[in-house]
Amino acid sequence: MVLMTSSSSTQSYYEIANRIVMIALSISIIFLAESLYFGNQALAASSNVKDDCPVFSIKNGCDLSGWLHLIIDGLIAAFLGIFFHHLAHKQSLKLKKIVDEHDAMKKRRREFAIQSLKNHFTTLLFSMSLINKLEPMYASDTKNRDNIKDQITRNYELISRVISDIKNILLFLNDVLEPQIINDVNKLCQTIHQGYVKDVDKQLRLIDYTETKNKINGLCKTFDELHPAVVPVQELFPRTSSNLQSNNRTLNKLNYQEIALYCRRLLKKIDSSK
Amino acid sequence: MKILGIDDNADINELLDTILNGSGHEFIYVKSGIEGLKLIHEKKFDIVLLDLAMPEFSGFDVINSLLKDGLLTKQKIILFTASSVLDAEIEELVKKGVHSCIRKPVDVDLLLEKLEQLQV
Repeated sequence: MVLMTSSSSTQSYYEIANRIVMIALSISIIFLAESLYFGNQALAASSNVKDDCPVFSIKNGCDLSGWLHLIIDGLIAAFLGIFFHHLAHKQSLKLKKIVDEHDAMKKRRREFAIQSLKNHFTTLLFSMSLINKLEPMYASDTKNRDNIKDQITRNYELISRVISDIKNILLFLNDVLEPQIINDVNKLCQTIHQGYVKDVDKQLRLIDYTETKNKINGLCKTFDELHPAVVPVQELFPRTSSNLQSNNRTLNKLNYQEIALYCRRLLKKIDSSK
Repeated sequence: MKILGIDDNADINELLDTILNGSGHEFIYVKSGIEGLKLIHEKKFDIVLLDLAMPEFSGFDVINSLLKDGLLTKQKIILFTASSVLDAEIEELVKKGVHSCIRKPVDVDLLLEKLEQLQV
């Protein structure tokens, strides 16, 4: 662990040193080119122009020749070209990172939507099945009628809550789900709602459990067809992703701290050498 | 059968509690991976129904911890998940020692049937 930390810090020092050298080099090149160009222009303008100046002569009375003008302009253009290319490359990398992050977020949101819907469908299937099993008992078991009735009512309440949860998911995550899925899930919710009827005892009853079960199974098949699993689920886990994001943030923070530390060390070295 | 359910979904836990205890099994459930891991260390279960997507300590973390402690093959861990897990991922987990995977949503009769098969 200590070795890893020391090697990574050496690497970052090397990177910082590289960056500082690059910046210093760029400033020197700009300074050299500018001073050559403008210095010569100023020098030439300050005196009478002589006709017998050699091609690369830089001295009092000699204006820059066409060739030297071309070379210096070319150098400046090349430098600016490289500089802008570097900036554009950096920008495109940033954009790619943003697009990738957005894409990953979308995948996570989609996975979350599908997971939540499937969990809700499981709840629906379980509670509908329970109701199906409790209803005949309610008719036959006269002793525990109240208890069974309570259980059935509780399950119907659960179904209503789950349906409203499903509708909320469709509302908030409709940007990551296929329109066909949204339509089908809405239809399913409608079917379950319409499936409620009140019997002689004013007890809610679900008309057809098997039909709803088949619809849910069909819907899950459509899920898998329209949103097939292509990425290992471990990569989509919110915990892992948030950790990665926070790690990135820490890394950025660390970089700035290291730069500051490096500058302080550099200043100390200069002081001690004096 | 003694069954442990590790799932953060309270509704599913409660429904499974009613269904499985009602069909002659002994079902206990916990809402987090850490609690589940603690129970697995303390008691012996015939089947552990493990959800994968849980906050803080996921099903994958439970599997890795059990693998580290050498307990993964000693328990019948069945993934009970709504996540879009790739078949390759499941195969990898089965190689590590996970028994099998039941994908949500599942019908009660089908779930009970699978549990009965495991008992045999």
